[in-house]
Amino acid sequence: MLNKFLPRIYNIKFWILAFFLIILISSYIYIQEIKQKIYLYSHHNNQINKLIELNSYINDFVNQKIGLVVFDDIATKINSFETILEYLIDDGKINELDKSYINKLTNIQKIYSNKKLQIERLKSSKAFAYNALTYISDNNDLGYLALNNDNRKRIDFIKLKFANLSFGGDDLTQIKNEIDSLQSLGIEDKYIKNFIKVSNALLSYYSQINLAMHRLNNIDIDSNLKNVKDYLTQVM
Amino acid sequence: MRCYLNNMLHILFGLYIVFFSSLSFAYENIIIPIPQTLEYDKAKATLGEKLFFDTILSKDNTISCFSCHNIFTNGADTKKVSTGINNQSGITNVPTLFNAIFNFRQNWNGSAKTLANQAKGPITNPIEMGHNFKELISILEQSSYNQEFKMIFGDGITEDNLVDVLAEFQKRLITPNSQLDKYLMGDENALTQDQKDGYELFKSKGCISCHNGINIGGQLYSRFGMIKLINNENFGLYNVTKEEEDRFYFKVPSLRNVELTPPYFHDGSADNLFSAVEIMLRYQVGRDTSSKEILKIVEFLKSLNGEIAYVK
Repeated sequence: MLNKFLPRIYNIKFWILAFFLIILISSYIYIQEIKQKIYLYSHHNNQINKLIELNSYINDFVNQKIGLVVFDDIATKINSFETILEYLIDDGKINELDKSYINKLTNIQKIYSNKKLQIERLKSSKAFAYNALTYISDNNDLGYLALNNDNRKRIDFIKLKFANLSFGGDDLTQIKNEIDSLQSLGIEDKYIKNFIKVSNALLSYYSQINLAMHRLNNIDIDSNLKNVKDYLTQVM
Repeated sequence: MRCYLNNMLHILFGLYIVFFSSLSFAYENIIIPIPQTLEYDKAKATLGEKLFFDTILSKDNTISCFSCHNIFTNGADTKKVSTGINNQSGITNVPTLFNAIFNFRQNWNGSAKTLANQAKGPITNPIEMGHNFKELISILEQSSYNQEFKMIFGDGITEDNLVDVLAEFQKRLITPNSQLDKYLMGDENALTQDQKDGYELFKSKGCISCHNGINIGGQLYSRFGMIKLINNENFGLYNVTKEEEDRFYFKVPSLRNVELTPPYFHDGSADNLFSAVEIMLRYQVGRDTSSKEILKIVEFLKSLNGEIAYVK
């Protein structure tokens, strides 16, 4: 009789054991997956922190006053931002991270591509503006030194206006008017003609700087990055 | 009233001094010497070197990277535009590969972000090598390259692996120890007096505002003719962005080894350095400069020739 039931009991035990084994293995796999996801999200979180730092560095550059700039560093930072973002999107796709997270990153990528273009324009205009200002401020230029008193006063007045512009005391239109009135005098002097040419070009690049700054101020990468960071914190 | 006006003038003059003196920058560290070597993956670079000289990369097996980039002389050629397969002429002057690793983007219009991206261009360009990657990879797989790629990459020959090895090789194409680099590192006698004068002019005439950093250029775009537009059939960055504001903007080229890379500009329109400097001073920075001064700047530019690390 007992012999008849034993195989059945063993059979039940086997199934119970198998059931627990499956539960155990599934839990292990599940925990490993969770661990892997946490690791991935935490890694992504670190990279997002890097992006926030880079973005802040780039913003500082944007708001810098006109001066001589070695562009190596800013160019590296701009490329790094792009590279990290591309990596996060690819890595997110490969590891099948949440779609809404990848969409957020893709959205930042689109915004950043516009920001990058504006910064490149700003870099060119700032480089030219620095160059033109050094010419305008050069009081040792032989052409400037050769000017008669009246003409030198006229030039000095415009130089002063350009200096005042950076302190918010004059605007581009006022300076443009001064340059136009100097030009209307028709003075036949090589230095004055060139001074007018460079000043006009400078005004036009100042306008481009203002335009690029205006556009850049309307591009908000920072809050998008913080939004992604908040999202990652919630997921983790 | 007169006293008030006088005070105002003094204040304004003060502002003037403060503003313009803030422009004058200590020029130290504005040009950075090229390092002696760069770290690179030796196995990849060796394979890249082999491919670099191999005409297998072109559709009709006639053109290699070396055909347009002579890395024993100047990293480019000395033609206005280079010749591709079927004797077709290129559309822009070939930029040197020397120190290209330090450029913020590659190509005159900045269309390639990295050296690897750049390498894809000539291989598939119908007037350069005229190949397509699918066919090229299949040809390479029938050759000894198959085994060589497999030893480095698990997935063998792919488009990305192919340009990766070419890019890795280019890390060897740097030119340290130019006279200027030696001067910047403290050797007072590395420059002649004319070169020193030329360097001062290079700074005071404003060339330095775009040509600075490790590559003395290569870090930004600039309009070709900032003061006055120079006749131009190539639209530069516009061809990449399709935005009107970017028309005629080009990547500022590196000035390293510039003496060795005539003709100049994206279209090779200036035959010699004197004429290139003259055009730049007039149209780009808006300075009237005497021939004597231009000659000194040219002398300074000659001090930018470095030693070819690859040949060493």
